[in-house]
Amino acid sequence: MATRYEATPLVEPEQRVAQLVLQRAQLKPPIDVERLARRYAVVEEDALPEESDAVVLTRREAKPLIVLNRHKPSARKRFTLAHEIGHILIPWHIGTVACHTDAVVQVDDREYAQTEAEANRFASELLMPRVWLADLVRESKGLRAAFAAAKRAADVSPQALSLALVQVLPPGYVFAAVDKRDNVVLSGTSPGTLAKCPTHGHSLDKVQYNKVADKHLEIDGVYWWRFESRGRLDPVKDPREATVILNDILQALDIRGASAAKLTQSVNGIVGAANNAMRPRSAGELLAGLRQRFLARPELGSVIEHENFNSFLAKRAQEILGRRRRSRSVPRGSR
Amino acid sequence: MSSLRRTFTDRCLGGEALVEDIDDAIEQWHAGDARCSLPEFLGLTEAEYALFVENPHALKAIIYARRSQVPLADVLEWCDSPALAARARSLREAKRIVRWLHDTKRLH
Repeated sequence: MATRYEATPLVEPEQRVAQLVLQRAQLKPPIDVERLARRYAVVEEDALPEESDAVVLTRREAKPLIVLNRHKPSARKRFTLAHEIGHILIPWHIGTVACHTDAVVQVDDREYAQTEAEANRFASELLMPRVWLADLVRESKGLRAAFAAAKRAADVSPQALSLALVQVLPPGYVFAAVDKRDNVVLSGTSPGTLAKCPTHGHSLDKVQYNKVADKHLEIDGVYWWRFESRGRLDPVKDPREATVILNDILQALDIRGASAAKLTQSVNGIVGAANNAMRPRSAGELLAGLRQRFLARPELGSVIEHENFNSFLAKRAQEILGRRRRSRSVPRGSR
Repeated sequence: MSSLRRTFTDRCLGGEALVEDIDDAIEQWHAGDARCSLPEFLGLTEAEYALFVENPHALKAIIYARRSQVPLADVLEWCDSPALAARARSLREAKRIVRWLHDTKRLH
C-alpha cells in the first residue's frame, strides 16, 4: 500500500483533540507523555506478540489499559504512548486496538488503517504542536537547526519529526526516509509544493532529485530537498517545436502507436496541470515547476530520462508563456 | 434552540470537546434557558440519552456509530465482546492479541 502524506494546512478533528488536551493541561514541549498517559490509563510494558507497538484495552470497570512493547526504542515508545492516549481521548475511537505506529503498514482493514492514522496525527500534534513547530522554524537558522532544536525538545524519531515538520514548512520542501535497501518508507511535501514526493515502496532516485532541487541535505538519515519556484530559462538552441522534440524522443526510444499516444497524453496532461496550478509569471518559473512535476514518475519510464527531455520542457515553457503574452497583447474586440 | 448551535455531539465529532465534557454540557443546559430537552441539547436521541444514563461508557460507541454511520445496536454488540472489538492489522493478529491478553490475565 503506497502511503503518501499530502500536506494538510487544515487541522483535522483528532489534531484539535490533542490541542485541547495541551491547552487544558497547560502543556508545551517537552511533553511528559508518561505522566499524561497515567492520568487517563494504567500503563504497563511487556513483550507483545506480532511486533505490535502497543495494545490499548478499554475496560468498563477500570481505567483503560495500555501495554507497551518493551522491546521498542525509547523515542518510539514515547510516540506510541502519545498515540495510545489518542485512542483513549478521541471521542469516536472504541474497542481494543493492537497498534503499529509505523506510518506505513500493510493492513486488511481500511478502517483500522484510518484509526491508526488518526491516532498518529493526534500523537504528532501532542508531542510537536504545529504552532510551536512553526515558531521554532521561524526562529531557527535553516532546516538543520530547526530539526535539531525540535528533536531535542520533542524527543521523537527523525521520521516522526520529518512528517510533522514538513507540514509547517513553506512551499518547496520534500523529504524521504528509506529502508536498508534504499526503498522509500516515508515521504512528504510541504503545503503548496509542486514536486511529487518519492513514491513509497520504490527505490529512491536521489540523483534525479538532487539534480532538480536547488538544495539537498541529509538530516538524521532523512533526505530533504528544497525546490525554488524561481527559475531561469536560457534560450533554447533546439529549433524544433516542443511537440516535435517529444515525438523524436518517443521514436528514438522505439515507442510507437498506442503507447506513444498514451505517453504523449500523459506528458501534456502533467504540463497542463502544472501550468494551471502555478500560473507562472515567467517561462523560467514554469520550467522550474515542470521539472519538479516530472520527478517520481515511474510510469513515464525512459522518456523523462532522455537527454532531450529537458529541451522539450524548456521549449514547452517558452511556447506556453509566449502564447499567453501574445494573447494579452491582442486588443479587446479584435479577437 | 437555535439550529446553528453546535451540540455536544457535534463538538465531539469536530474534535472540540472530549467525552468527559458532557458534565459541563449538562450543567450548561441546567443553567441556561434552552428551549429544548436535554438529549436534544446534547445532540442525542432519547434512546441514546437513555443508554448513556444507564451506561456512561456507551457515549463513545454512540459517537462512533454517528461518525461511521453504522447502526448503534451493531456497535454495542461489537463492543460487548472484546474478541469482536479487537482491531489489528489482520484478523489473525487480532485473534493472537486477544489470546495473549487472556493468557496474561489482562482480559477475563
